[in-house]
Amino acid sequence: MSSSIAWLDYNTQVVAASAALLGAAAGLAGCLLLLRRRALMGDALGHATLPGIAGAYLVSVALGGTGKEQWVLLAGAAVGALGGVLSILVIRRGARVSDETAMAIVLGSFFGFGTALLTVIQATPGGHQAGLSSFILGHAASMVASDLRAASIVAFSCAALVVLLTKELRLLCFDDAFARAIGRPVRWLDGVVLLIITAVVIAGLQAVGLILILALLILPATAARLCTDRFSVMLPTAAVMGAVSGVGGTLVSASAPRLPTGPCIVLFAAAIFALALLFAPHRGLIVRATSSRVRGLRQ
Amino acid sequence: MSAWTWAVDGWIIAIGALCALSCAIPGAFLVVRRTSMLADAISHAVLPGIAVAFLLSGTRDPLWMFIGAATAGLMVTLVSSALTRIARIDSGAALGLTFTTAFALGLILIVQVADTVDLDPSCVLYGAIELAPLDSTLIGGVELPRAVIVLGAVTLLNALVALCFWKELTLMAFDPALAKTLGCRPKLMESIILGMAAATCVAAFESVGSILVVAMMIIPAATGRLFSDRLVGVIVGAIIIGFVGAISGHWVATTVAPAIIAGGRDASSAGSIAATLGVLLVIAIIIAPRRGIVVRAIHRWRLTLRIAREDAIGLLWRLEEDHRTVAEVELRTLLVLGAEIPGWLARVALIQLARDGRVDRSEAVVRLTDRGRGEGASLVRSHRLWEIYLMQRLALARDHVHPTAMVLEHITDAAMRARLAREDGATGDGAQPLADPHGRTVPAAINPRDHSV
Repeated sequence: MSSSIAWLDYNTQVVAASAALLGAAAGLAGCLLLLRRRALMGDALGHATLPGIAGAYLVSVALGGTGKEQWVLLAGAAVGALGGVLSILVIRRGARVSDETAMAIVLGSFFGFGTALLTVIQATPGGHQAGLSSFILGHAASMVASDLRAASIVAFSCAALVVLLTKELRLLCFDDAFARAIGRPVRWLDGVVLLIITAVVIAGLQAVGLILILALLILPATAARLCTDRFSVMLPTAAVMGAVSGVGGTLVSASAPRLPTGPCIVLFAAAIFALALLFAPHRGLIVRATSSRVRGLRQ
Repeated sequence: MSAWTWAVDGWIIAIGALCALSCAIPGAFLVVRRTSMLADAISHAVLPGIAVAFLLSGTRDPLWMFIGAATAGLMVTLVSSALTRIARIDSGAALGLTFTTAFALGLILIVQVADTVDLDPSCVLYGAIELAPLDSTLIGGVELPRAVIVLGAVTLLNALVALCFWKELTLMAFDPALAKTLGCRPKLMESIILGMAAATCVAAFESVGSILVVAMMIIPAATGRLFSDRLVGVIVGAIIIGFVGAISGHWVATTVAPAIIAGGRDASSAGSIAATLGVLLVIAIIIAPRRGIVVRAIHRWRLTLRIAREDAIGLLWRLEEDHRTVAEVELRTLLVLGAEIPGWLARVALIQLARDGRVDRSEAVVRLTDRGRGEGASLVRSHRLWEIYLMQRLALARDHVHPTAMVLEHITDAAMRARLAREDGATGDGAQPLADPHGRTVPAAINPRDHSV
């Protein structure tokens, strides 16, 4: 009975639809991130949004606004994420460190800066109610129709970009040296990939928060990668897995009290990944275990 | 806003400095081994670790929390490396999906027990370095904050482990393949580094928060890397940078932040220290002694100037060879056209040459001094010897050798000129001068070292 009420509940429908769209977009974007071997970039980007959000709030208040306008905060998040990407590139070249180190550096210092700003904001009048810290762990229950619209815009523009650039992106993901050699604008394509990732991270802030968005990016993509070797199959598979995780996680969280939506979506995605890890047709653990046993028997 | 009191601020800085000290050794290894995000993964895994430890033990006893967090940190690293090995998933992706899944699980578990106990997820993320001095215990008659004791113990442990396995760990960090061949058991050493990193993350998260642990572990080590190529140097540099970051970060949080932002409250010290460390890294990128942007720019500028000076001397020598003299304006124009040097650079180069007594520009025309003539001859000798070599040995076309020789002439010393002369077939006594591909005579060796080798 309670599950049928959850189905009818308008709020749950909005959250589930947004989460499905977001999951699909994250699945698509995650494939690009995974194949470019930059999975953890999603984490650095997510953490780098925090100072942007806090900065946007401060600017908005200083200009006489309330600091609660969603689009202002999300625009700040986008600025923070792009600043993070640029810093990663600059630090990687300037300090001559590996990609991973540059990501950890940006993640730590940007998030630290963000928390420093947050503590100051929360002491100001009205700062505590602004709910800025809900971006860290997500707060899906507060999603409304306008968030659904935003999620659908992000999802459809990501899908459109990926479909339009499929050939170029496939080349970029599997052989960037060759892509460069035949004159494809590799830097621009990488920029497009990072732009897509940033859009997904921003869109996911409210649903899953800036820490767990990484999971939504790479769990469906990795699961899809286990199931197929074809780029053209992997993309829709990851999108579907992401969407299913979004809906499934929302319904699970609505079915019982005290189940926060964001973590539920992530655990649903993790369950799908675990299934793929076990049962994937060629690379699954079960198939591999049995086939190696067969080989052992033949010898 | 208030003035610093040593009972509070002193301890906060001491805890930050101890955190830097304990993080330096594992941090240096993580940075050199290029597995920096491991620190991030372990510090996020702390959350489910303490949640499970609470569910199992029913207490918030720090020991239980420590055991739970350490176990979770190790589990995450083990599971992700197993995923990489068994399912051949990209190592970054394996790490990311493991720790975020663990983090999600931790969040759900914490919400379940939220009524009975105060476990605040954001406390794990930000830490509470401001409150750490208040939580103190008596040790030997002295009241010490618990964070100081825990971090001090981990620092000693790290130092001890590093001393015991120094050779093996260093070898492992720079060349795992060689380490394996020499029987240094790289797997074991890798686990030791992981263990140190996990223990440090777990010990430090309570006081400084998991994100500051990431910052403290990676940023000072990456900064130290700019100053030194030796592992000891990286570690010492990391410690110093960490100290400076702790002090200046806390100062920013308590003095600068309230002054700038209306409302006048202190910012989070842990967050400010992390952000300050990032700023310190950027400063180091700019001013580091050998790898800094400024030093590299100075090197490049000096090289550009030297090449411009040499081009000017070479050009003057060739003009003298043709019995031509030119005024300075004309010489600059020729340099701009022939050597593609900007006009202002040619001007600076000529001023320097006159200052060093290589060129005399006191009259209407510019002339080489004896010293300048000798260097010009050596330069043109290098140029023409290279042209002959490139045509004879590399079979380059005659009209293609000049640009390459223009580059090579600047990096050819006397010893190489002597070698080139022999390769080009010059006689030992220099009785028969060589001719370059364009029919010009290769000037005789003036530098006595041209005859050596």
